[in-house]
Order: sequence, then C-alpha cells, then structure tokens
Amino acid sequence: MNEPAHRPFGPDDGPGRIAAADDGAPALEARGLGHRFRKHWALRDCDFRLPAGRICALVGPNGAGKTTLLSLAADLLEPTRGRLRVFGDAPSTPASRGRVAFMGQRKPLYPGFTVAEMLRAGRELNPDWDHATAERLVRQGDISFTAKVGTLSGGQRTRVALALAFGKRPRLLLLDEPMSDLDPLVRHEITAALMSEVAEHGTTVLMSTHMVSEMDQVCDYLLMITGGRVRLAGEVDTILAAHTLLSSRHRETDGPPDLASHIVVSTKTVGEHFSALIRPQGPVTGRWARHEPGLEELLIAYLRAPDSTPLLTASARVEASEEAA
Amino acid sequence: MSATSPLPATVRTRRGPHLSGLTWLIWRQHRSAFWTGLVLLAVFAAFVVTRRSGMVADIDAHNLAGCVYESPEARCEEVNAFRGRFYDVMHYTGLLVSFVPLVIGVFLGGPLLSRELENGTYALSCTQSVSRTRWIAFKLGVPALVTLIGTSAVAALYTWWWQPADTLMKGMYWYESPFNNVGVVPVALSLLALVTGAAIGMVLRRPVAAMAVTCAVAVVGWVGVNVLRPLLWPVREVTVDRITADYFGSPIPLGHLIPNAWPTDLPNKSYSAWNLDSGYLTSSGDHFTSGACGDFTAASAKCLKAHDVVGAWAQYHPASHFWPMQWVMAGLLLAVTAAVTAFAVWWARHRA
Repeated sequence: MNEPAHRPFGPDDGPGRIAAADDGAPALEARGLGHRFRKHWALRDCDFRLPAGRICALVGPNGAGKTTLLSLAADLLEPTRGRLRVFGDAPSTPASRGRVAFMGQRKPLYPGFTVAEMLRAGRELNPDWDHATAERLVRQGDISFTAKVGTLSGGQRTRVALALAFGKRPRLLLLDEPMSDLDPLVRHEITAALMSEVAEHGTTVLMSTHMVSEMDQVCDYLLMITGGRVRLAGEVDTILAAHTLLSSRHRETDGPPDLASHIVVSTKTVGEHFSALIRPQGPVTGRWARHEPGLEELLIAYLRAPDSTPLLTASARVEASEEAA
Repeated sequence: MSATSPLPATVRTRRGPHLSGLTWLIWRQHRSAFWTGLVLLAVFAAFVVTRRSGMVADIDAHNLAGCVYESPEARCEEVNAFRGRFYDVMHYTGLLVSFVPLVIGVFLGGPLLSRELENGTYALSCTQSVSRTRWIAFKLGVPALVTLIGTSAVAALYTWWWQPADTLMKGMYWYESPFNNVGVVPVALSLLALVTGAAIGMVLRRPVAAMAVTCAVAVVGWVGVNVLRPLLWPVREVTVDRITADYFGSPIPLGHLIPNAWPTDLPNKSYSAWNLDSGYLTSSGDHFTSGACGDFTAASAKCLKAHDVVGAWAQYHPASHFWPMQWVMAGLLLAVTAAVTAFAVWWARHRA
C-alpha cells in the first residue's frame, strides 16, 4: 500500500477553501439559540456566525455546550429557543441533512459490520455518495475492507468514521473531539488526511477539541463557549491581535492601577511575577513587557475567567436588524 | 491512485436477497436475529408436517372425521384413545408457540433501538441523508414485516395441524392454546410485542433493561389478554327448568360445580363451547350460588329445594363465537400496536 499522503498544510490553504463557498449564506448562523435538558440550560442566548469555508475550532471546558451545539447543527437535537441555520436552512430540512456530516465523539460504527459494509451503508443512505473519496481514506490507513469494525484500532476507527463523513460530500463537517482518543502519531496522520480532504472539497469544518496546541496550525476560526454562552468567535488572527499579554514584576497585591481603562480578561500572580491578558481600549501605559498572546495562552486565560466580556469579530456577528425579524 | 478502482470484491459478492437502501441496512443490522427466526421456523414447519401427517392417518384409520368428544356414535368411541395419542404433543407445542410473541418482543424488539442509542450508532443513523422519520419507519417496518411473515407462517402451520382434530381434542379450543396460536391473534400479539419492546428500548436506552422490562410487560399483557378474552363477544346465556343427571364433568366454572344439574340443551357435549359461568335458578328468576348448600349430597339437594331452586343457568360462548372473537382480539391488539408505533415515531423525532 501507499504511504499515507502527508501534505503540508497551513494558512496557504485558506483562499482555496474560501473560494469553494459559492453562495453567501454562512455555514452556521445562530440567533438567540438555546437548548435546555430538563432544568439545565446547556446553551443559552447564542448569537454567532460561522462563515463558509472556515476551519473552526470549537473550544470550551467540559460541559460548556460544545456537543449540544454540534448536535443541534446535526439535527440530533431541536433548539429549545431561538434558531440555527445551516447554509440558510434549518438543520431538519432535507437540503441541510444532505449538506452536513457529523462524527460523534465515540466514532460510532455499526457493530458486526465489516469496513466494506460500513461504506456500503454510507452509499445506501446518501444519494450523493462519493465512494472514491471514502475508499481512498480507508486505503490510506492500510485498513482491510474485510476487517470487522470491532477489531479496528482507535486510529483506524476514526479513519473509517471520517471516510463515512467525507463520502457524504458534506459542505459542513461537524467533528466532536475527533482526536481525543488517539496517540500523537495517529493524530498527526488523521489531521493530515482531514486537512487534505477539506482542502480538496472546500468543506467548512466545525470541530470541538481540547487539543488547542495542535489545532493552532489547522484552524483559522475560533468559537469558544463557556457555560452555554459564546465567549469568543471570529478569525483566530483577528482575535489574537485584539489581545495583549502584559507582564511585570510587581509587589502590590491588587495589581497595577493603570489597567482600568482596558478590558482585563484575567490576571495571574506567580510569586512576584504578575501577568494580565487584556483587550486594549487605547494605548497601554506603564512599564510592561507586552506581546501578542499565542492561541493556547489566550484560551487558558479565558478558561480561567469564564465570565469575561464576549468578543465577536465582524464576520462572526449577526446583524441586529435581522435579529429583530 | 487506487481511488478510482471498482468496489472491492467483498462489496460485490453478496449472499441472500438483493436489498438496497434502508432495507439493506436494517436487514444487515439484525440479520442474525432474522436468520435464527427463519431457521426455527423451518424446524417448526418440518415438525408440524410430520406430526400432522401421522395424526391425519390416524383419523382416517379409525374413521374419526366428524366425531366430537364423547359423541354417541359407536365409531367415535376411539376419540378418547386418539386424544391420548395426540393431545399432549399438540398441547405442549402450542404452549411453546404461545411464547413466540414474548421471544420476539424481548430479543428483537428490546434491543432494536436501545442498542443503537447505547452504542451511539443512533447518531450515525440519524445524520445520514435519509430523514429520521424514514429511518424509524424502516427500523420498525423491516422487523415488523419479517415478524408478520414469520408468525403468519407459524400460526398457519399450527392452525393447519389443529383443524383436522379441532372437535376431537377436549379442552383444546378456547384456552390459551390454540386460541392465541391460530388465526390472526398470534400475528397481532407478535407485532405488538415487537413495537412495545422497541418503544421501551427507546425510552430506557439500555438493551438489557429494555429486554427485562419488555419481558415483564409481555407477561402482564399476556395475563391481561386472557382476562379480556371472554368479554370480546356478547356471552350467550341459557336457563333451564329441568335438572338432569347427565353431567359430563366439564371444566369447573369458577367454583360453581353443579352436580346433576346441567342444562340438557347446553352444547357442552362437544366441548366446543366455552362455559364461562353457571349456577342455580330460583323460581323468581334469581341466580343462586350453590355454596350455601354444598354439592353432591342428599342434604345439598334438600337444601337447594328449600332455597326455591327450580332450574339452572349457564353463560357460554358457542363454537360459532370463536372466529369473531379472534378478529375482535386481533383488531384490539393491532389498534394498540398502532398507538405504540405512533408513540415510538413521535419519540424518535422529538425526544431521542
């Protein structure tokens, strides 16, 4: 068998993907979206957009509502409040069902089926089935078509699940923690396979993940949810540029007073070392070492301060005028 | 690149019928259960064919056709011995067959949806291009069709076996077997058990729990069905003013054993009537329970006379009620089946 095609990928893949999104409707648009399980609101008052052609990391602590959001987009759940649109259509419409592929966290496959039978299941249930793509993904993983799915390793299982998802020719691919149970090498292979298919087909991807450091180079869009509410949404670059990480040696316990004019996301004091992640609202004064935060630094700062003021970039915002309608 | 190569050999070679779409998926998912059922059906068919041919040969050899149990004709005296030869195997096979709905409910219905909900493939099934309503329709429909065909075959085989001897087998007309094993009732019972098991599994989301609860519900349902059975058709009542001595020892009707007091025109001699209840009648037309007087003794006869007993009454279903009651029962069961199915579809679309 051939070696899996390891393709370098990065921001350069961006324009090709964006060009593939033909009409103007965003891949996802939530307005006042809320979902309640019995008495607990898993998602609440969510307003955001995910433009087509993006690869979006969906981050947040456990129980933040990530799986709920993905399930709503996949029509596995119905919103309790508000609405969600996938390329302009409700998730329950036939058009939307055909455009969305979902891979659950446990990568469910029918027990007792062989790999070939799993692909046949995909073909039987999807009119636009792309057997060549599905087979290619399986072959690249050196997986036997006659193997029972129960005997596959975690990486092989993920590959078959991905093959099922891509075989559907989705325009929006929803992945719930796709890499969580894989070792680093397999993670790298699966990521490479995923990105190469995404680049080829122009698929929009929304994937929940805890592997922030690894998603850094893959995702160009970010959606952060804490406590069922959207905290951050937008282009990774824009969001990072909107923040500054400040640090200094400081003796005062209550922090330096000259941060009051900025939005302070979180502060941290380790010994005499004080640091703060801020959204500058003007020139930053004072004797600070300052630099733009990395994605991981940013996310950890937000996870530490879940109640901070939300930030949505222009492309992630829904217009207020439409909202009233 | 190998991507353009045709399907691998494993996809091309298929055994069994050529199915497609959801029909293929559902058949493939449950094929071991379906094949097990079909093999058991084949074994049962072979068994019935051999048993029946022996029985029919016996009826011909002893010229028993048209006899009823304890009929006065001399040629029919052999009926007792005939019953001794063939009753047990038919009766116990019937008992076994009456477990078919329970087995279908527990082993096919119980895991049908709960297994997909437990292992997460429910999300896989429901995120393909087919609508969820369509999926649940096939998920219930394909096993229902297999159940319909399989249990119809079982019921037809049992009916076919039983009918040459229906009047020869005392006590084998109205009771659980064969009433629940012939005609449409076993088919309706099986369909109800299937969808009930599936609906329970959908709510509980755990196969083992679903199977246990389905089993319990099936047993309770079975008791309920048998309690309901006498009420399915208006009961016929006879009263007689003459107390005779030709009591044949029919099944004891609810403790009201009436020795020497059987209405003469009650069609119980053929045992094709189902005697539900009977008792004494006073001159004012009231029913009188013999408990106060006891039975069988000279004293009780005196006591009955003292209580103004002048006759007897009996409530029964004649043989002609058998098939109307079958259809009423099947209709009720299918109505409940439709309701449970509607619930399952609603739950699949909005709750699961």
